[in-house]
Amino acid sequence: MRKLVTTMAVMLLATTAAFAQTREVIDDAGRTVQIPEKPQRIIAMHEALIALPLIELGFDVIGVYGRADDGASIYDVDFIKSVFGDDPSLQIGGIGPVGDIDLEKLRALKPDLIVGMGRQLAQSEILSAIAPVYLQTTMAGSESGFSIEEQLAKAFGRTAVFDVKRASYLERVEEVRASLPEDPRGKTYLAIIVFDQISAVRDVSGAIQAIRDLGYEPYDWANRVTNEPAKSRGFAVPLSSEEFALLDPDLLVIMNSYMSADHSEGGIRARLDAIAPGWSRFMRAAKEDQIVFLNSAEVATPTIRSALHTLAAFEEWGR
Amino acid sequence: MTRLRYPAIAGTLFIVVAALLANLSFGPSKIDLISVVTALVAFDADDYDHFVVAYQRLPRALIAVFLGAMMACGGAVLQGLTRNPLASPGILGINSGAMLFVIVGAFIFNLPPEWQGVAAIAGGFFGFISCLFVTRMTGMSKDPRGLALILSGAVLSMLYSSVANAIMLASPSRRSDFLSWASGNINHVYVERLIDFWWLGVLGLGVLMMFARPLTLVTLGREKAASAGVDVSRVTWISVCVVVVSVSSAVAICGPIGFVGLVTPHIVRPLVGASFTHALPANALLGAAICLLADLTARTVFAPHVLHTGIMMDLFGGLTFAIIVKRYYLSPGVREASR
Repeated sequence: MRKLVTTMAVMLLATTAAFAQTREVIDDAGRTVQIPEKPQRIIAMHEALIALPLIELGFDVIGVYGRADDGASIYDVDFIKSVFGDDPSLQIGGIGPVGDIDLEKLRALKPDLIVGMGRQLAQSEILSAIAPVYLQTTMAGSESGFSIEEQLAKAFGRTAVFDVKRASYLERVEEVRASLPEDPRGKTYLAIIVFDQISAVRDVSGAIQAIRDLGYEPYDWANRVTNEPAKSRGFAVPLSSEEFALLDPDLLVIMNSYMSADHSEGGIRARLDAIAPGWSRFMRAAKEDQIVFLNSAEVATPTIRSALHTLAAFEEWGR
Repeated sequence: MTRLRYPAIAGTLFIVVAALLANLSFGPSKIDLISVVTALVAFDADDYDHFVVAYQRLPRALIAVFLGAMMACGGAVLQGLTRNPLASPGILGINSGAMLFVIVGAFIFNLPPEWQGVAAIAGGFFGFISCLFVTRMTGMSKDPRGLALILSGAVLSMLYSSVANAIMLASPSRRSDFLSWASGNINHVYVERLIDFWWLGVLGLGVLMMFARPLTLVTLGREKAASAGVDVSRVTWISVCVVVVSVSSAVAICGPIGFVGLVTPHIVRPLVGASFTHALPANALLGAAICLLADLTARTVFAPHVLHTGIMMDLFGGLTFAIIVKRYYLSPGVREASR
């Protein structure tokens, strides 16, 4: 009997100790949050901006917006599959469609940490009743490339994992740069994404990180065709279809909408021809065939893997 | 009034030409009128301004002209036949019915683009006939103010739009292709649809012009028209069918856009009178001018963002609708007369 009581007491203490392994952090919204030392079951409140960086850092993300219970995406684009491939271990459950959190589903997943974006401050109070909520800045305009992943690695103690991946990525950057016909350093680039209009891609994505690490410099489109700053909220900003062909970057990087089924060069060209007729006849980069086509679903997330997909596309283009 | 007719039509024609030239000249980049005219008469493939005029601005302008003419003439005929100042393709279920059938055809039956236009026309008929049916069900079809017709149309329009939106929401993989169209968007990308359907509208306007005199007599009074030898029901039904076909073909091109069909006849009527011989050309011209100006506003106010023309129209349409309701339904004279 005494043995039993002792065992139970030890088990209870162990369990309590496990729960007690928390630490206090200040999140990007300035809130003080008690988070688990080693989060085991994370819910991400945005697939592309939060879930993918966490997955790449090796965290067990158990739920995100926009997925069915069996882990299948209910939206046009499946970023997890596009970026990481068809990995059965990445069957992540859903917590309702975007903008409509299913609190019951969320609670049933028993998370020990919820990671949201700064703009989800209003929801964080409700979510805090289920698990601690950490808010990561994603759209303040201060982020670029895969800096969101780097910040998450720092916040959750995975800096070593991030550094190893980045070191390997930087080796690949050198390799790809050497394979290009010309040294890209100092040349300008303009990255666009074609929705039902043409939009210039801003800073937050693995694609932009890779392009800049290769040595390309951003073409100053902001002062040419829009009153919106290049460095600001959001993934992309619309450009005038009339003025698009007048822009003069050394390199044009084009991707189709991630909701599009066709990411082929022919498909993207046809779409762009319809929106901005004459672009390929007048734009210098087009005339000199300095165009790289990317699959936006693979490269638009702020992850090292997206940057690697971008490097692969550049390597292919350089051949 | 007669003295005013031809100057009014000439004035409207002038406004259309001015709106067209403004549409071709103003935009994110300003292109001077000489370049605009040169682009139209002596296109130079090495001049980028010519490309912008010929391949971006002109297609948009032509779509706006077509849409405005179809909607305004449709509104004028419907207001005349129903004798209701609020009648318009948008209110009587034609626009939303056409939209619903296009969405159902594309999303559920996977129809190719050319058949989506046929679906739009079928949907336009469905929307209008269901509106008449519901009005009859209410037992108020003889109401002289036609209030039941308007209410039925408004309710059904909302219903059809909701169903269409629900179908789009339930099919995320196709949604992005139609989201812009469904909110009423004049876009040069849609010029291929204009090439497919322009002849339907032009043919429709031709038929309406041929029917202008009997149509005028019918709108002045059915007995009067019958005593003048007009086959009232034949004229009514052919005119309605032509309106549904031409309006639906406009919806097939750039989605459901309201307001023009409602308000243009109200501006035209005091200028040229009730005779459709003059009202139809005047409506076609003024409707075109309104759409051209709305498109110009949509392209330039928030440039480089391009607003959907349907959104611009709805902004003005809501206000205009309220003014017309107040004028025709809430004025003391009308209330007294309807007791």
